[in-house]
Amino acid sequence: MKLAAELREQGRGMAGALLVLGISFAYTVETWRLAVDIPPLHLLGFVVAGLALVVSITHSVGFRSDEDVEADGADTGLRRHGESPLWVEFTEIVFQSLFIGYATLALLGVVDLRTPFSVVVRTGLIQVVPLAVGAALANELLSGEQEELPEAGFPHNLGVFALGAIFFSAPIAPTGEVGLIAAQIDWMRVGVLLAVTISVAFLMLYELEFRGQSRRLQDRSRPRQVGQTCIVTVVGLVVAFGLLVALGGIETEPVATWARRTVVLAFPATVGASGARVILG
Amino acid sequence: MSPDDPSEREASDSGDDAATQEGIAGGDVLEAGIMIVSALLLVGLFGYIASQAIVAPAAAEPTATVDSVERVPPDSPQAGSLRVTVSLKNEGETGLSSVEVAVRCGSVERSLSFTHVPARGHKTGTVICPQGTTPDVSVATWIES
Repeated sequence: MKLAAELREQGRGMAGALLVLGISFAYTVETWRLAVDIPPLHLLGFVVAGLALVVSITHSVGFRSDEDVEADGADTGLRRHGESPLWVEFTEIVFQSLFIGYATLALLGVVDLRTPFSVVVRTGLIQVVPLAVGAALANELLSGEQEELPEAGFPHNLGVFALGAIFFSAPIAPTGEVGLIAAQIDWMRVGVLLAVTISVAFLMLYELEFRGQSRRLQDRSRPRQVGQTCIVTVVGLVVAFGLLVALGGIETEPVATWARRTVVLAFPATVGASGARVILG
Repeated sequence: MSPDDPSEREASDSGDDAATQEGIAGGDVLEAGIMIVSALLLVGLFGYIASQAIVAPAAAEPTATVDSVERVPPDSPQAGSLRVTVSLKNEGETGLSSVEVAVRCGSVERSLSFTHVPARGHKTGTVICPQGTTPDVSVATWIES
């Protein structure tokens, strides 16, 4: 497999992990505290049971082809996509989940270089299960091999973006996590978070071969792809700000707090807006 | 002329095509305009974030000041007391997960708790002080995020 294709596949798993389940877990303070409070045996049981579920999903969500079963009915253990054995696919999913999990937690200021090593490990183990479930499902349900949906044109696509952004960020907007994350990251990290938000939107729409990518690329030059990404991101920002005014009680806060919290909530909102393009067309 | 007349149908079709073309062109122009506005908004937001990152001092301590002192209205159960609004400023580049502010009103001491105070952010709180006292505020404790 070419390097670009391999990177694309890993990236799709990571973005899918965030899209399907991971982002709401990452934005829940109880999951951060759980990593510290949970007894080791309980944590081990959670991880083993959770990853067994991931194996089950990877094994069963309709990805074994007839060619993978030999004439005598024996299972070759190879997956249809990429002809990889199940254990390789599972290992890749766990890697993708840990990578995107730690990247997100670092971005949100939950873990950093000063965090004790045991807490870093425990936090990763708590996050890996939902992320891995998301990655396993995303590879099957949202990849470019799925049936393509007709794409909503301008200006209807703005409604699709807004719908996805609201769907993902509305449950997060009234929670204390937005204020907490906005308070614990410095301005430099706020800027990095915004840059990552834009990059994730671009990758999800035009690079990672999620469903409908060929249609999205049709007759669209690179500047136009970038322009569309800007629109998606701004829709995410506008929805995030609107939800914070409606549900988050920021009207009495200074402008700097508005900006911080809006960027923090715009990350899930923009992932949702890009996801809506993939899922709804 | 009947609608089945070929010449009319042709004229009508070409009219529809022209209208569709104009519609698409108009939509494209509007979409391009929105793309440009979106890009400018993002550049502006990046500029704002960069300016905040540059001007924010790295390790400034939080400060508390008395914002306003108002007499409680006579129809209130605490009529005659003073409503003191306290402003907490965090000029540092690190957010604060909690801050305790002590408010002294003569011999009476009140306490205000603030949570999740962002870096370069501020919050306000209110305490009631007895009549005839002069409020004095100071930051007692804080925990960085």
